[in-house]
Amino acid sequence: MAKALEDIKVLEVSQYESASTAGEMMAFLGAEVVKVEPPGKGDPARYASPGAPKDADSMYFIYLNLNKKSITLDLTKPRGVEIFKDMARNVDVVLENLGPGVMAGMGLGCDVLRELNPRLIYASITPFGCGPYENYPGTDLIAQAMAGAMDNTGFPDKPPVRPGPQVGETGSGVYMFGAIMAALHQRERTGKGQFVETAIADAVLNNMRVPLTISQTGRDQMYQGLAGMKRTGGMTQPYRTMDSDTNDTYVIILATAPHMQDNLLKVIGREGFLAEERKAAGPIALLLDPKLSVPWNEAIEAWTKSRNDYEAFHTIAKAKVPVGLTLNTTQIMNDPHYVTRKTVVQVAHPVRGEFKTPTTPHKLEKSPVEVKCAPLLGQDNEEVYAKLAGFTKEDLAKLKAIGVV
Amino acid sequence: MKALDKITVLACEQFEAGTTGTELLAFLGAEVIMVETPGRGQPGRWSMATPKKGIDSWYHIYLNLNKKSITLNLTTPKGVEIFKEMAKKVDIVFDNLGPGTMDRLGIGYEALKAVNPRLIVATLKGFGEGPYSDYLCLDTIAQSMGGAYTLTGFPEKPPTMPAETLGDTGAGMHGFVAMLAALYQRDITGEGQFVEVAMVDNSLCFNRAPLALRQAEKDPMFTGAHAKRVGNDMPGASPHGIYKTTDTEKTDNYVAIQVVDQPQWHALLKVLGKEDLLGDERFKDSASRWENREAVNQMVEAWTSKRSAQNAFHTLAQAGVPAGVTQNTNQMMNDPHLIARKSVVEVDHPHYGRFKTLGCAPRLADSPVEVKCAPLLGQSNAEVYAKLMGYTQYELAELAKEGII
Repeated sequence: MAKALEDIKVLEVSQYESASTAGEMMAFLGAEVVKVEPPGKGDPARYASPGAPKDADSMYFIYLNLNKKSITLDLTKPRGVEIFKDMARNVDVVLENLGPGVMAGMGLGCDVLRELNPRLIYASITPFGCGPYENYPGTDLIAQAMAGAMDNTGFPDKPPVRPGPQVGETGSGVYMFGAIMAALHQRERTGKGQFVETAIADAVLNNMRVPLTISQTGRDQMYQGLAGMKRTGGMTQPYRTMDSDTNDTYVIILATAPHMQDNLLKVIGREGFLAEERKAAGPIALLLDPKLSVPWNEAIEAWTKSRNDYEAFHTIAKAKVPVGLTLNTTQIMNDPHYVTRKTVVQVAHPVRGEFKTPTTPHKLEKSPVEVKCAPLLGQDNEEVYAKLAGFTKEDLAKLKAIGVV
Repeated sequence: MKALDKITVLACEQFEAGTTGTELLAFLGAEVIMVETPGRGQPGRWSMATPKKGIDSWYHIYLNLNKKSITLNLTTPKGVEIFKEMAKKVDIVFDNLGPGTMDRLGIGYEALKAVNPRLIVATLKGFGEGPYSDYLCLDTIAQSMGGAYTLTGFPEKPPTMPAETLGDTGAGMHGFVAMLAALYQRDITGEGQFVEVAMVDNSLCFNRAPLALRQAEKDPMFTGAHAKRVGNDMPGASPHGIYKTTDTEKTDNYVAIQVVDQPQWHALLKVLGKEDLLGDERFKDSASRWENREAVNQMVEAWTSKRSAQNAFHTLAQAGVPAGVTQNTNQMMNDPHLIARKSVVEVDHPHYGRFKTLGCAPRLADSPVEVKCAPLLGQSNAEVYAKLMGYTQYELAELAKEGII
């Protein structure tokens, strides 16, 4: 076996991002992930993405659906539902995020499919998950609001702001991938599949563990206070470089230990700066107490401001001080580290041509990842239907004529 | 029964990125044994705020629920020998120590593979292999390098750190899923392997959507201008953002609203009492609403600003419009939905008493999660060493005297 999930088949009935992310990660590790899409339309991510061209798939869709297959099937027609059920007998996982109750409404709920195939793992991602708000709609923005991320992001003089990373959508996809893998492992022992679920809101919440601990440290372990933790602009000041005005890239330094601060001062030629005050206050107070942090930050910025971003980054990193750049999107996709590690790769799309895309953070020694382009709508009808439903080309032509595929 | 019953993990961890990944394994039933320095423990126990010396920080407690703790001095030959002996009997050895540390201690992948070919050796690093592999990395650094800062905040403000500690906890969740994939592969092949996840790759993974949305449509090779921060907007889509409520002045709570498709827009118009605009050309699709977003936002805020955040949230959500409240940390820890679904749970700690913390995001129907408190340093020495090494209390006392445990 050359890949971790080589023998695993997934039917993915998905829209937008969360389930597509889980399916993509499985596909990178060798699973055969078949996207089941409405004929003539497909996953709305193909076209409903802002700025997408009219006649081609959006890059949003392409990024989230690499390495998959696509078939078309109309699940609003009884024949389509019947075909889906037949295929569900022959797969390991059904993965869906159509929204609360939608699959069940079409007759494709967990109970129905697991009765046909007791080994099936049925995986659902919904905005809020089971509970009082289970039927409420939601998106990444909504999840980041409800789970406290927006309230704690940004500046005291500004309203709450949404973090740019898709913590809810992509995050719930990653957690779902984990749930499916754990269920597959459990199935090796029990021979049985099961229902697994996660919520977009839970994914944000679980990335808020640390702000939550800070907010209750030593005083409010049951969270009975009024205000909770508030946004502060972040604990580190981004330092300007000579190019910040044009490329918006700043230097982030987190010198949290005395030796790191000493190393940093050596780099900027200010050895001994605030030595006594630092010793008295401790390394963290330096970052938080304006009496110290203001002159400290000025001294550092005086140095970074006369250098370009990567020069400042490499010089400080080599002095063993934690440092990063607030890389902009163009820099990220061209950064030599990402390119060398194949975190960013180049792939060809039949319509969009060559493009660069992020891949997967999972590097398994015995499951190498070859990145393949996202499929065009219905691209794999012939192959997949022959294998999972036993359809001939003629069968498919007939189904197409009545709008089922 | 639990999904990961009978799976044993030896974890050499510090701070957050490692601990959050193995915490998820523990929630799903794995026996996760933290191997910690005698007398000190891992730095997350004491380097974050604690009420007094010797009491674990909340930071440590939140990130190490359901685990066991043993002490072992890995800088002594005897300690290394004991570790290797235990590695023969476990399924996974995981670390997030600095680059090269496990090798230097003599318990790197090659050394462990030699004693246990079924072993999965997983490592979580800052930058991972590549040009920057030796550079130090922390949450903020990983977030800045992965684009989180540049994509978060307002255009007139510098790049901004998201509230979520996505560089660390996000990497932990990716470590969790990568270990599960390797475990499943071992179920099939019988062989262990090496698994690596880098914090910066993880950080980038969450930004696939903004990378695709904000730039790639016009520039698939990322050679031109970079994406700009957009506050709470999503260019090309409207409404998308936060709106004032009667609570905003007092509690800083806004209602978040994102309309994804036409049916949701129509539902929103009905809630606002603006049925007369149902066929209005200015609002006929997302792109048109974006063009006329000022009118859209005024109309929405005229309605929300007369209601409480909770009232606006439930009214909109029940009408099928994605909505949420920008909850603060106290509100989210008391949210009835999150409590009902056990995303927020209560646990007892020997020092702090009863406290609230977070549960497990991935839910498996046949692997129930009971959240247990994080262990005190060395709490599980007697049990674990008896099981894995056959040590008696007497032998443990000797080892303690020699400073080995």
